[in-house]
Amino acid sequence: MRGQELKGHLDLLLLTVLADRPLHGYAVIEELRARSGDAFDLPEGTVYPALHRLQAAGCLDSEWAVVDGRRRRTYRLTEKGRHELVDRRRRWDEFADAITATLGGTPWPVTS
Amino acid sequence: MARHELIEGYLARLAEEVRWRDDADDVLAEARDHLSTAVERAVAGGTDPEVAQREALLAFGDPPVVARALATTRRGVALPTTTTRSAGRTALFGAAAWIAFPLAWWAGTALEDRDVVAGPVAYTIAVGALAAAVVVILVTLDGLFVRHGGSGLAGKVAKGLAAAAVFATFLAWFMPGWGLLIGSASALTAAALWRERLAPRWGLAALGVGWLGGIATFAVLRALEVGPVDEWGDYPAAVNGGLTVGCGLTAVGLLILGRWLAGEVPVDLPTEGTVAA
Repeated sequence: MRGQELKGHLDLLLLTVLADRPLHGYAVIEELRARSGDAFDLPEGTVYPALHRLQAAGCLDSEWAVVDGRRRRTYRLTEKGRHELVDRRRRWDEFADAITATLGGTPWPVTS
Repeated sequence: MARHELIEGYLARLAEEVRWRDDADDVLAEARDHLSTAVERAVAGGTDPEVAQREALLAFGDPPVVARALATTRRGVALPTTTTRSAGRTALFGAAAWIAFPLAWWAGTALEDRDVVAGPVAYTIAVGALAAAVVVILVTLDGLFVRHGGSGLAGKVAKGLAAAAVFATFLAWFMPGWGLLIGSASALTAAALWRERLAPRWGLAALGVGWLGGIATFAVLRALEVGPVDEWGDYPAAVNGGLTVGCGLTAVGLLILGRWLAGEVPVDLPTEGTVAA
């Protein structure tokens, strides 16, 4: 799945991944990859802006630590982020149900 | 080859792309940690260090793509572009116009009783320079807001005031009118952009204080009735004081901000791969 197809859904995915425990950026992306079965193909560097944006919106909090001599930022879900996750998850489920219901009764198109 | 030479080269390129951000150090630290972690894990799994670096960099994305995605975390896209660079170059021209205007005006004042040709010519040059200078202010304010990611309400009001000032310069002699409009537009812009910590603050301060300071100077000298009264009932010392402060500070502000905007390398980037909400 390319980056453009993920547009609009990335925030939900990031909130979901961070719902279980705080993670640093690389671990977030690893978790995304593992859960999706390597389905998401987007430049890893573009995940960080989404994390920053969620933090600016108050959905995530972060703290810096020094690990192996390097500065590392770890993100955690805030209470507002948890509410946002619930809301986005509900909207996604409604959307996915509607799409599935529409496609469900239609046979696969025949291609040559 | 040094162990992480490729990553260091990449980070140097990324640093160039994000040098305009006030959180550039954090961005680079996060990228360094990500890339180093990716390489260390790949090497631990048996991958050649150089191959591991190449794979990590390929997965992370080109510096321009990452920088553009990072720019979306601010209001709009706050990037140096060809538009902002042009605004900077125009601002430098404007600084010259703000210096030329009072000089030509004073020349006209000095020559009007002595030379029936040179006096009016000097005044005409002054009025032209003033009109150009005020148009440049409008262009510069627009460039500054574009550079900060968009206008917003403050930007629209400021540009509206500056546009009104352009028409007000038809009454070039009525300095309090156009001066107040330009001063308000500039002060509003400086106040709105100050906390973003992107533009040079000395430039914003000079531009923001410039014409409000000029009008204040004029008002104080006029109220104190400093100097002789001319045939029109004006106090030339008050007008000249206001012109000196207003034009001088505004020229300095435009010079600083113009050099900044014109000196940045435009980042007109492809959008593919960008993930923005």
